[in-house]
Amino acid sequence: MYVIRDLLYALRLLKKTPKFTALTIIVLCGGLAVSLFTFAFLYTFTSKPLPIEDQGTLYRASLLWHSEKFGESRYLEAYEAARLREHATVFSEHGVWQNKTVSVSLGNNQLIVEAASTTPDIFKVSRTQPLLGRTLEASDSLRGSTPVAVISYAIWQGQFGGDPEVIGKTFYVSGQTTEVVGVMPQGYRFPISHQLWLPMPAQILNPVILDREKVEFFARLKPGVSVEQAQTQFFSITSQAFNARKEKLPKGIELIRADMDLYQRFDIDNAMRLTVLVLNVVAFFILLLAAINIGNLLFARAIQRSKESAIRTAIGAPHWRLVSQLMWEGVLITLAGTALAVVLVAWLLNFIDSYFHTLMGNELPFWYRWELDITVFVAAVVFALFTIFVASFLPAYKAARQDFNMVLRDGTRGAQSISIGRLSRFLLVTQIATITLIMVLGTAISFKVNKATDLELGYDYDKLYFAIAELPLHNYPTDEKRALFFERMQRQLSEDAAFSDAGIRFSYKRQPVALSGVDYKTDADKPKATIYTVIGSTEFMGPKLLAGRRLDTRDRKDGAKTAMVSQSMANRLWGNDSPLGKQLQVTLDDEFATVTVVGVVSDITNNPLEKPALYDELYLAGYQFPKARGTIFFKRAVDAAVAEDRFFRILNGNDSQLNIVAIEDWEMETSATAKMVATFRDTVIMSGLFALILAMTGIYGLTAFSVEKRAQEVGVRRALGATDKDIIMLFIKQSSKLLLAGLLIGGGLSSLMLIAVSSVLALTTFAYASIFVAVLGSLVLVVLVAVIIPSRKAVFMQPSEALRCE
Amino acid sequence: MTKAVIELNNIYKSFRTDDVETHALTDISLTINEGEFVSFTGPSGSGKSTLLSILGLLDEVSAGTFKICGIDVTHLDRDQRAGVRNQQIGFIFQSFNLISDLTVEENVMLPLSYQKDVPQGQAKRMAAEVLKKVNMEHRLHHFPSQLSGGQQQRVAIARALVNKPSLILADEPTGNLDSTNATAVMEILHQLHQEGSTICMVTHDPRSLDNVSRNVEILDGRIRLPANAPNEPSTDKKQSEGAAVCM
Repeated sequence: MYVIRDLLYALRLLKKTPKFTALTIIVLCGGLAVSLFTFAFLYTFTSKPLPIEDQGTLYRASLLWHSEKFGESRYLEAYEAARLREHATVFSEHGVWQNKTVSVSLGNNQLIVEAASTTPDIFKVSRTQPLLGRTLEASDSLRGSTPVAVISYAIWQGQFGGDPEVIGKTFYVSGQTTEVVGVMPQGYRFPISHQLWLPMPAQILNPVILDREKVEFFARLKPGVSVEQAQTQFFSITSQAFNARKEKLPKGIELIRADMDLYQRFDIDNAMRLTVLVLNVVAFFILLLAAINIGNLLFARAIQRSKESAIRTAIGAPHWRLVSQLMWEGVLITLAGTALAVVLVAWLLNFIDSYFHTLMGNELPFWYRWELDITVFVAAVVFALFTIFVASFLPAYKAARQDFNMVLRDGTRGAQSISIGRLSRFLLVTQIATITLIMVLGTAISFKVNKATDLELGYDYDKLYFAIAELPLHNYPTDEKRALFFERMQRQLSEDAAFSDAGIRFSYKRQPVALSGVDYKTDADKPKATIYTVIGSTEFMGPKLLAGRRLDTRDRKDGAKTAMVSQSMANRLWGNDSPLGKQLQVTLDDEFATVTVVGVVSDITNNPLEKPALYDELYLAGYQFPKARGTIFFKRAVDAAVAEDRFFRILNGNDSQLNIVAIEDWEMETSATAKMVATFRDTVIMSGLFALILAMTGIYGLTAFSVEKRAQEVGVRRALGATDKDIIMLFIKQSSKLLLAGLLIGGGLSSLMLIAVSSVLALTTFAYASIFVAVLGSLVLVVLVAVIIPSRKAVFMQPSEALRCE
Repeated sequence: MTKAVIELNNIYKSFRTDDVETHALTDISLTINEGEFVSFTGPSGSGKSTLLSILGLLDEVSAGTFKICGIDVTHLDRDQRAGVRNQQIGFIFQSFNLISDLTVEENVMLPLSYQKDVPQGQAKRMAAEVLKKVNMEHRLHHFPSQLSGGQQQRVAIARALVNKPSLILADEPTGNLDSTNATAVMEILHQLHQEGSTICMVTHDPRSLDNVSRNVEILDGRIRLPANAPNEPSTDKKQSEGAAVCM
């Protein structure tokens, strides 16, 4: 019964002070909403369970390789995957797929979709039955069998108008007549965001020793098998397979280890995990800040009622009863704040979900659903319990532990005020340290993210498309054949009215190049450049000619090896000298060559977080150094759908079997990326501003409380002759020590965290220094204002009135 | 010639809370001479403490004029009033009002810290001197919470004396003390009076009235004059080298 009495009493107190109640609920709601939203957003991004049966046993795996030229990269080739499927005993089910961008057409209705060229196991592993017809079968992959496809609900509705008789009907998949054998249920987009499932060709399922096709592997672990055991066997089988063909593959490739992780976490790398952790820490600190503020306000209220508590103690109330009674106000405020925060977060998640799905179309992984699910709800409960502990229990416990005998005796406030003063000082230092941490990390992240919204790539990406084509080695075994294919594609696209220009680019990673005639001791001493080989004009792809000439048909395989360098490279290597006619030595795919610089072009970057001039680029002739994997760039001159259709017609005319790994509308892609990044940046900035307001009000509250508690001391000091300035300086001086302590702790902690994420942020020393100066400077200002306002209020009280304060 | 330390002429003081105006003091005229020990008595709420606050420049008058050592302090600004409090007045409160975060020595040095021309070393010496006078020199580095009530009040007296003020104002200085400590505190005050200090004391304790030069009774905000007794300063003037005089 006493609980109900205490509850009603707390309700009455809150009702008596509606402004206080509303303010505390809003502050708490804000703190909880920021933390909960950040958690829900990032959790969906990194570890949300897949919406399929037994999702906890579903894993993805691959191999980590080290190449002398390209460093580390993660992939699995079809050859090793085939050995795995033959010999692995740790998996109960498994399969492989390849991503394929294809055009789907029926009549005039054409669409570009992400398809999975897959083993039939995919549907069984994802525990999903088709809505109509059947799924893929092993026989569909046999050579000579009728091309078939399983289509998504969206394609069924969009291309076939939801025709119930769709099974057995045909349509074109990248120009090839294909029969529909099944329709998957609405929302099914396994393995990532796919809409069409095609049988994996026999040559990839059973590759010969030289095949280098890359595939993705997924599996369910057998009951009782640990991830470590599975990883060990995975590595053992694949390394045996690799060793068996190692001699026949290009040199300098080493297998490092097998990587295996839960399906949805597989693509989240360590840098991303660290970033997520830092963001969650920042969000948690915002909640802590809000909880401390509310706790402080409730503590002040409890102290104001210390006489009442003393009387209750005097008439026999046990300690825990006092704590319980003092806690209820905080509990009610927290519950109201949590309820509001949950509603707000549910709305925000719903908004973000539709925003991102509108922005990214069908490219988001199928399990990316931002919503208020059970995990987010449990997190809300945990956050609320934490808040109750900090904002209700701790203040109530502290307030109930006062020496009530002293409180009841008049004029003996000494020990009590020392204890309260200590707590106030501790809270003030905690607040300052916390806001320093939040502001430094928040500013650094916003600073970094903001750079990404500039998208200063050195490209004009208006109407620009790119498609990545991978030429199979068995059909294109020589450089000549590869160069011929890409040259033909470039020429046909350039000549077609649907395109204003077209070009081919082969990319190599950053690697050492040497100036002819210079003796370098090691590769580390050589300048580095990102190397591209190109066919066709580079102008529309970004690099504009600044001096000399472009690479063109004069730069044939048997001709002199020529190159263009980026302006930054020319400046770095030759300063004021003209680079034209200078010679460089490069090694591409074990082929050593001396190239002569014939042109200088403008700087570009593929990384929106880097300035174009940060690194150097070296362009070689694509005819002289072609690769199996090339990027076809084209600029459309007509409507997007018409241009895409023309592209696939030209591609199919050259090779209907060719695997296009991806085709992207760069303009749409960059604009969607910029919008997503800007949303993220704005969220961080808004959270930071909210945290700053929280901190300002919190510091003001603490200072005001501290000044109020010392009103009598102010009266005494003024009675003894202190001027207004003396009193204000006293408070500033005392707060300065706490400010310094808070800034040192917060600054130290944020430095440690910045060091931990420095590889992700990669800001310059000047940027870090600017962030620290700006944050620390603004916090000093904020604290000074928060100290001066209540101090001025205190000095304007008549000393006689101040002396009567209790 | 006897010098007036305090001159109050037709002082009024009223407070306004919402629409209610309370007249705390009405038409108070009073002169206190150098070296006098004047007590103020009266029932609770009669206006004694308000009068003491006015005398100590802790509160402002609503009407009338007020001089300290011949200087009109009625219209001084906040900082000038602070200067007068610091240099001319010493306060002793009922609840001691020592600052709990400061040691005994720091509490006593506090009035000197508001004067620009007193070096730290000199302030320490002066604090030690007055603490010796009240027999508290052995508690220099203690905090108030480590002292008994009587000891705290002795420290408060030392703090009131450290500036060598022209006027000592004591608001029920024995109100929070047991009889032994109360007697000891009164002995110190009488000793100060003997040495020439001008003291004004509000009290409820009839025992404290022994040996005061003059008792002023306040009732309903007015000075209540005994029959045939004009409100005039006593001629009881003591002056010695140690006591401060109006400057």
